[in-house]
Amino acid sequence: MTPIGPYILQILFDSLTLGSLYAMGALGIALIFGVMRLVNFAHGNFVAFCVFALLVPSTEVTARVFLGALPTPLLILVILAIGAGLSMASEIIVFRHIRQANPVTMMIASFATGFTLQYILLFLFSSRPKTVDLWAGISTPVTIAGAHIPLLQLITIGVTLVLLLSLTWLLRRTQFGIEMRGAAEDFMMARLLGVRANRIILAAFAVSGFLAASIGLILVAQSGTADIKMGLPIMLVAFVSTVIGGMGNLFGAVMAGFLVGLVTTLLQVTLPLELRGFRDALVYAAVILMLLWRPQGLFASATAKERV
Amino acid sequence: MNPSGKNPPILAIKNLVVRYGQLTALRQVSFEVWRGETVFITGPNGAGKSTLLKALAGAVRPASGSIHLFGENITQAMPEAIARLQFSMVPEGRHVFGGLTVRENLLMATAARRGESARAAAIAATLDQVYQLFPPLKQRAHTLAASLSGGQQQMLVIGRALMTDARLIAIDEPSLGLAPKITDEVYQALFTLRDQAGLSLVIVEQSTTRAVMEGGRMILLRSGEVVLSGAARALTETVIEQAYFGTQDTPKTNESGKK
Repeated sequence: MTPIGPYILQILFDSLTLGSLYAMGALGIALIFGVMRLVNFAHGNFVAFCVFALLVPSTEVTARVFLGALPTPLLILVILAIGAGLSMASEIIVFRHIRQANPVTMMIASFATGFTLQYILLFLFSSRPKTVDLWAGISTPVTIAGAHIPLLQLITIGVTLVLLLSLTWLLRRTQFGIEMRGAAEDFMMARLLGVRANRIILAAFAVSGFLAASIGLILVAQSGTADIKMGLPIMLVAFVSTVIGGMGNLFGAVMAGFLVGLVTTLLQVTLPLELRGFRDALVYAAVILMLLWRPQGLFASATAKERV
Repeated sequence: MNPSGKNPPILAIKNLVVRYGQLTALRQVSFEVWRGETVFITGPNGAGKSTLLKALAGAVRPASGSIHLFGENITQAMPEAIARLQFSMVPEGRHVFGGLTVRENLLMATAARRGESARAAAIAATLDQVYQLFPPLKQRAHTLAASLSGGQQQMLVIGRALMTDARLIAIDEPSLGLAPKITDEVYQALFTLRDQAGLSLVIVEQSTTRAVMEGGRMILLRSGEVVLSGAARALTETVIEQAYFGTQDTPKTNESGKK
């Protein structure tokens, strides 16, 4: 028998790592939903796009690094900038022009944007997953209180915490952040008070794309592969998390992301081996039950207003 | 109060038409507002009072006609651009940001400030004024606006309008949900600002009583049209009633005037 302490610690770190990715994804989706009621299904493709920006376009199995050849700190900054830039470009080229359209139209446009990005990647890189060997040694385990935690998990959790804390600071303590939160709650009222719609929305897209790029970097470090569909599973869960958290509630989205991460990890370790394949089915079943119980989400505020 | 010869009006609305689909909400509405003036827009439910304010603020697009604010044509302008001309509109239905604290709600309203007035010191000074005017807002500065009572929320939206540093404020039913004593205080505060800082006011009230009580000019809307306009105190009760209810005789029932 292994001692129980390290075992629980390991589960905790696994949950936090998975939850971090979900939370960042959910936040990226919730930010944009908040300011323009757009459910951006292209978000997952932003993740993949950022990862492939590391590579030289080719259809070979082993990837040759392109931006990946930059020194690590610079590389990270460039990829984050690409994520933010791509997201802002999608707003300027696509979403800005259909802002007055109904939410379904906007959602379809986001699907179209996502597929366009995916097929651009398919054309340049083929659909075969590629091995990307960046940052070898990042998965070396670190021993904490008897538990072996991969270094990458610690980095993931640390990075997520830093991002969430800085974003919280931005949203709570700056005039810009106050305007963004107000706009997410009642967009027209914010505009009536002089908050510039385009600037706020563009900023939301920038932060959202920045988060997508962070997810991409963590995913590629984790899996060592680049796959044109790599953002999608995470984004599906992230989207579900925004619903669980209460659409448009940023705090709720983050908490729900971590919650789904925890539930998924717990099911992973507690389910008997033969049922483990059904883990996600059980996660989604739990989501259905939760939504039947609280359709407005776990953290929905009593004041959340529908925009007309 | 009246046009002082050469000064142009700060607000000029000409032949304004607003439609919601097939429904015409405003028909050929025209009027002007001069600096330092108080204009009451009154009329029964569905007369188009709120629509008029929304059109002014850019929240609905007019089908035809024109609106000039401080000399600029704002007929098709975006709400945030209009707010930047030092105009503030308090829409019906309060619209506090429930997830923001009281203080954050007030700070939200400084988004349109420019130059000197955007400095921290200037903002802090107005914040003090608003707190002085509405002490409950000061006490609850750091609580979420959603947890305020209806009356306090009404104070908050009016406080927010004052935070914008506006030269013209349009308010939809300032008395809604306020105790009469507080309503009086709100009006007192608005009038003090009007007299000291040259603020102009456009105030929507369903009832004509306040207009007659406070003086100023009254514009009476019914079914989207201006049916009566003039110095509130110069209008006789009969004339007002007939315009309000659209009857030649004394009104039989007052269904159209009820909530």
